[in-house]
Amino acid sequence: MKVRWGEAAGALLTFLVFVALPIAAQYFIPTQILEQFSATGLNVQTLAREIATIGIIISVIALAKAFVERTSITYLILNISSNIVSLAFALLVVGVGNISSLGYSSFNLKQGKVTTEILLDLRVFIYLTIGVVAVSVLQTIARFREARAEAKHTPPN
Amino acid sequence: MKTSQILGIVLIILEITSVALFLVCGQTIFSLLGTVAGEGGEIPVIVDQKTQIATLTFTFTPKNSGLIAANVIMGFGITLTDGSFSVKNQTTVSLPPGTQQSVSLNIKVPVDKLQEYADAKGTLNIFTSIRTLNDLVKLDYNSKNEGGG
Repeated sequence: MKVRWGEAAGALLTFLVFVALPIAAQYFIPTQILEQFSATGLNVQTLAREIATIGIIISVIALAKAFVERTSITYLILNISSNIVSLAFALLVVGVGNISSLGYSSFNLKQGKVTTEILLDLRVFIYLTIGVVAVSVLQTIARFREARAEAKHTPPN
Repeated sequence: MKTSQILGIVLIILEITSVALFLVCGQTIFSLLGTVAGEGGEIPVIVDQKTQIATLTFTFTPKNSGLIAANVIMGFGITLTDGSFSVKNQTTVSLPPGTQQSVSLNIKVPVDKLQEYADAKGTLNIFTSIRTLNDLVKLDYNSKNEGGG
């Protein structure tokens, strides 16, 4: 089996950035700040776990791609899956932990007699991300077809 | 040029645009956020003894230190819990990058209604909405202070 070590290293880097970093980062945030976030309904630890979960999926897909032929259907499916999982990741981050909010998040904080409501509308970035993922899927399909066409015209060694 | 290469260029343009817009919008909103609070949080009350009407004035001085223009909606009001009285005043200011504007808003409240609010029977509502990128990105901040205490 031929392994593309560059892609395997990319998978390791993805793991470090999207899994190890969020898990480690929560231990460096002061407890007081974590409690303040918690009071607004945002659980930083849960958010870090969710980011890490998606990070594991992205890393596994990236690693699997390193072992699969670029002209195979499996590679195409893995690539498209990776794009879709990336969209889920963007929804999670822009929605501040709530994928279903689709970039429209609200937080409430009650301190004594003062209630504060914060509403964040970042839906335009979700639309842009959907556009990026759609173009990315199209590019994946185009690359796959081009690789297959090249393989057909290349005489076997 | 191959189709995948053309799509690759489109993808790079889209990604750079998205990230740049996200950073610029974030920077504009957060630069304004610190300046939209009322001056010192104090609301001067002037009572007209003849009419027994109190005038409450709230002054905002939003400053846009961001890179793109923003619209800021600011307002405040008082609502009594039983629904018998409600008053609010709001305004919108457009701030090109690097500008600031001072805004004073007044509301008139009968003294007896103001007393009811002070007796914990009402809410003082201060709200701010910062909108940028042609109002496509926004942050609303709404603070409700119960009277009394």
